[in-house]
Amino acid sequence: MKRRWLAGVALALAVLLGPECLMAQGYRGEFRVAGSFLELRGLERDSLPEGAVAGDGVRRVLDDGTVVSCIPGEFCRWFGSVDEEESISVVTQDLSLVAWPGIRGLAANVHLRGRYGTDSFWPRSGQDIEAITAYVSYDRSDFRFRGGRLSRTSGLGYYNFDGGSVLWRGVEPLRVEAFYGWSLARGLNAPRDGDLLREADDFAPDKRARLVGFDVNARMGNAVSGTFTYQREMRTDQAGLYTERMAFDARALVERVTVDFSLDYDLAFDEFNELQLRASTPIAAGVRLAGYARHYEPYFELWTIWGAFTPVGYTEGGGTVFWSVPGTTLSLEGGGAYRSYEETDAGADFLDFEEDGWRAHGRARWEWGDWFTDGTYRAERGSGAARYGGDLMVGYEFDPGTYLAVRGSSTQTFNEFRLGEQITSGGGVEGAWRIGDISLTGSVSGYSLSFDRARVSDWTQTRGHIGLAYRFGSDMGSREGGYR
Amino acid sequence: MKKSALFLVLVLGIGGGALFSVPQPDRFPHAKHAGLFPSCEGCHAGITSGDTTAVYSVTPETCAGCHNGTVQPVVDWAGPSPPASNVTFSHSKHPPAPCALCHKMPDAAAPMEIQRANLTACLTCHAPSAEEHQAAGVDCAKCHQPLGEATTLTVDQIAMFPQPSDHERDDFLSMHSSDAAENLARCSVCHSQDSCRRCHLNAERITQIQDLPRDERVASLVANRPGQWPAPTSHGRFDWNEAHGAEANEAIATCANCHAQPSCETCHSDAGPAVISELPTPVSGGPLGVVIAAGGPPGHTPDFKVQHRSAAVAGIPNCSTCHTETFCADCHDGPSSPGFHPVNFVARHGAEAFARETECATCHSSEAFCRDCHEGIGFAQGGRSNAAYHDATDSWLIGHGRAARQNLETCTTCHQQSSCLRCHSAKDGWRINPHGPDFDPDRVADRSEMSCGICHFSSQLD
Repeated sequence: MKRRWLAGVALALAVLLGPECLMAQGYRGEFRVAGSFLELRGLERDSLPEGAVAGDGVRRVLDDGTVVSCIPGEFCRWFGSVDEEESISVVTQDLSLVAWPGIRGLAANVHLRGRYGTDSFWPRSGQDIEAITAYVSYDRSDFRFRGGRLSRTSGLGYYNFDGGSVLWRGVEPLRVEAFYGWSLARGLNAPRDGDLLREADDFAPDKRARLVGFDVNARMGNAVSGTFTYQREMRTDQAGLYTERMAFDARALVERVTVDFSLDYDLAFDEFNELQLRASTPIAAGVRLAGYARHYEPYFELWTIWGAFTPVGYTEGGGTVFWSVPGTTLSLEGGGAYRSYEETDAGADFLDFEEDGWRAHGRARWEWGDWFTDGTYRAERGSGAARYGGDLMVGYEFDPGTYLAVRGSSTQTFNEFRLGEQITSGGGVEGAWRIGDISLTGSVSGYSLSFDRARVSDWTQTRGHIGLAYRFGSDMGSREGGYR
Repeated sequence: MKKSALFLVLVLGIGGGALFSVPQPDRFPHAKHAGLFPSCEGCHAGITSGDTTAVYSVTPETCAGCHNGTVQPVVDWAGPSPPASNVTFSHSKHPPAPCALCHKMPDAAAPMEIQRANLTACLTCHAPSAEEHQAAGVDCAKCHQPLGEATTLTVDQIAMFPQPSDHERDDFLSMHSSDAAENLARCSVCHSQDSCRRCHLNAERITQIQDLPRDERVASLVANRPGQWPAPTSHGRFDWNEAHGAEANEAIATCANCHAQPSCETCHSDAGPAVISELPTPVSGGPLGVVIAAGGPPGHTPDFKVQHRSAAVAGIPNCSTCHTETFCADCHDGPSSPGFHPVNFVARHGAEAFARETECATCHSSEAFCRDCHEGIGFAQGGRSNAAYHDATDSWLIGHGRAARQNLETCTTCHQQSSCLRCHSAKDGWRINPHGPDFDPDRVADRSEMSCGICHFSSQLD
């Protein structure tokens, strides 16, 4: 009985698709291996009985300058660096493959990742193999069907899920896509009730979620386009939602000005998590100006308590000037932004916390012959932390995709809520070598991290990276000269 | 008069091919015979009479009268042969003039020291303002046949055609269409349709090109020679990327002179502006048109790496034109593609993480990525809340609410929910209410009463 049913399905497919079948068959893929090595020296909490530390109050200083926090009648605690440096290696293998079996509109996509790290504290470095995506796509003129482990990019971010989607584009200029399936946690590519979250949080979800939503995209002429997205994630036991959000993004080309607008809105907390208007335009030969106004407010899923803590956001304005100096190979960039946080209605007023922030950056790149140099400086100050520093790279390009460069960097970092200043300086050598369809990359560097506080020792360390990428198969559907 | 006639003969006999500097191996040595032939008409009677059969009245037998081996050595001269030429000059249609007017050498000392026709003499009437034969204002077609009618010219002779001086102008290729429209006959002297098809993908649509005949000789000359498409000055405008769409809509026929559809499809997707479909498509063996290297479309500013949301979601430009879907996964799906963050970002990411210029959670789970690392390295001690780490102030616990509300995402990269519930729960502990003034409990409860239950007993929710 089962065989007859399968034969019937096969026959139906053959009748439906047969005459148009057997278009070009092919496949395209890429195999990548990337390995990184780094060293980190951790912090550990240490303590002394409160009575053994001289002084009064919460904050006291030991004889060697160590600042400690004391709880009367209990302990005085502090964080100092551990003696041993820990070495970490992170190795990933990626295989992405798209194949066309020869039936018009039918394609299979798979992106697998294997992890072969030291399984130390560096996140996701344990041994594991996962499917980033694995789906079948069937594309007809007005419809596109997809099923399997899919990825979605929308104004709400990048989501992977197990399920299906249907895209309809039967009436210009509309494109409507609906999707449904079992969602995967954002940034994890794993179910919410899996080990990854359970090990990370005592209140991790105990149920998976079903993702349902839709996108509507419409164009007005060739210069205006917008996409509205709605999606919600429901617990599989129907006991509640994990998320309910919507987003709207639009881009308009008005004369010489490119205008971008984006918002995303959390229906559960009635908050705009992102609201941004951005415009960029050329203003003179080689000069482009970009400016934006933005309101940002963090977003939390409903399985956490964080949204109920009423986090506040900030409003920011900024701009950047890009200048490709005509007749030269020099390009310059400079910009800055200022942000102001909303009133928190919390905490003690006598504490002097940052309530606004700013950042500025500059960059210059210059090529002379096969040599190139690239320098960047960035300064950032705001609530929580500040840093000032830059990078400088000088290199030689042997061929497109093949270069050797030396790089140096130095950064000064301050944490608003923790004493001390950290200076990170270092440099190294990096390069890439392209041989046909194979690309090799590698770098070796050394850094010195020094803190100006007691009991935090020198964090001098070495880093390394090596990678290999190999592309294979036909190039159906992609144009020569295009990006991958 | 005789001298004049002789000079007139030479115009046909030699000067006919003068424009093209074609070697004339059978050229008669007039100067050596100056004393023998007192006038031109003696040998070239047909010049003045208009009898084309009598243009050359001298034959080898005539020569043999003297060059018989006795009086003079025998010569092997077969007589003049009509030169391959595209000159349409007719002596009989021009007013009578002394032969020397056009044929005398500038520094001639004797009567028979002649040369090919002095073309400046033609210009005195036909292009009085021109200073030279091939000047821009000279109408070639006045004296020359269209190439298609000059069937005696060989491929090599055509290849030797001199280039008029106006063709050397920097903007000639960009501006030559108006010249062709004004005087196609001038173009047709040297060019056939094949000349134009070397570059023009839209040759079928241009009347002037269609009015020129095809010519196999020219086709063989231009075969395998790449087209030339110099960028017009308009393309150098600083806002050309933004402005070119409007100009294309207005005058796509002009674009089609150099561009085929693939030029546009480098950046525009298949669903790009409809006007693109009005451009020609390359045909096998024909020109490709301007090939545009893939590069950043107008919106791809250097900060596009972190500012591409609207472009990607709204679909202008269509990312899939240049990128496959795995391109997004390279950054959004994990650590396999170094390059998004600056080098050594792990040691200096604090300021960016607090500021959230980009939302870290788009790619990283706060719990399973950030907190996992922070706990491992010791910044977070199992999420326990104590003031030992935040030692910049001795009143941290009292004042941390402001910092927390401003940077709650960052707090969650070290602290678990249970850290905060020790104080901020309605079930036990200090029962400190964490809700801000804008918090709407009903709205949240409608969607997930379970999340309220983390801190509240169900009875507290009624």
